[in-house]
Amino acid sequence: MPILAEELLATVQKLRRNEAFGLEKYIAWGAEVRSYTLEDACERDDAVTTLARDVVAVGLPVRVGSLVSVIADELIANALYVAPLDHHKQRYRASETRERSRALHGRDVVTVRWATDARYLAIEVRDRWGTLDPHAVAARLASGKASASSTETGMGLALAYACCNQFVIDLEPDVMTEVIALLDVRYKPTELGRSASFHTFVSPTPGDP
Amino acid sequence: MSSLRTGRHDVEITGGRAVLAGRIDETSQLAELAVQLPPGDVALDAAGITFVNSIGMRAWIRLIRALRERGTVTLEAVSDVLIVQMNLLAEFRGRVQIASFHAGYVCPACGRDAALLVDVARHAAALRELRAPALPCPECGAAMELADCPERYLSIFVA
Repeated sequence: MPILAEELLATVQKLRRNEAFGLEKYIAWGAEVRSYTLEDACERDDAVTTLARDVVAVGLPVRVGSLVSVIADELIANALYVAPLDHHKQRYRASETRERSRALHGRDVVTVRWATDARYLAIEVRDRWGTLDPHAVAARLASGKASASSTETGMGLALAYACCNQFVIDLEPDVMTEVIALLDVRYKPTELGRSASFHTFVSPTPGDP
Repeated sequence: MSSLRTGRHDVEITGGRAVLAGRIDETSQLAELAVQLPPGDVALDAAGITFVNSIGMRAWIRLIRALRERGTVTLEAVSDVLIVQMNLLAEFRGRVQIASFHAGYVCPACGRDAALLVDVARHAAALRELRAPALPCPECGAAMELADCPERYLSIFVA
């Protein structure tokens, strides 16, 4: 997983300022950040389509729009169906029918933001559950192809990771998860590292030493 | 010929050959396609697949597994988005016959980019070595290059 100097800078800034959240950490100052808040689970398709269309409309290649579709679809689906936990710590929406309409209120609200500064395209998806386990995700990504095919689970985030150049998970446990996928739009894909870098930042839970 | 619409994709079946077009996602009922196809060897034309998510990929894996139990499965003109995702999974390495696939190419001479059809039998030796064949640019005729890392398209052909 190659790491560029600018990735280290963003990491240091996040740690020094104790501010984990926000795609602004990766995008140059002044770039316009666009945001969509899903009001119903069935708006996922519309959000993905709109995002992919908008990305191409600002001048990025169609190929990038195609990658954005996959990334946004998987991250939003993860926030809608995998993040929610019940009192028994069960992911009770994981097997829910995904075409079904479900109004999103309170902790179920999912926000999608994106921005580009002509260096990076950043896509950020936030949920209000804070239940993603970054270590489990890292292990799954590190195990690569074999696990994706043998268990048929966890393919969504692995797919999103495979489509980007930097994959960032920001977590405040039981409060919020934010996943940021960054695509380096400066270089040809053949000039970039084969694998994306993976970063995770966990905010301390209030009361922890 | 029979037509089938499951979820957000259409299928046209003629004998043991099916042509798929559209999105493969949570709405797809690909198991129905396995029922509709006759037993024995089958060919799936996947040129028209425009989007596949992880749930759609699981459905695709199950379809291929089900068809493989009945005979040889040949995939034809596999779309760019589908071949890239198939390359992420060890499931498909050496276990499915791919006759041709689309890959993103770019022309170093005129800058044109296009999804070109790669004939697997014709370029088998190069593909096994993770080398994409140079294909002529439809705009200027110069040799086009693969627009992405070879692993994204060609891992599936490496033994």
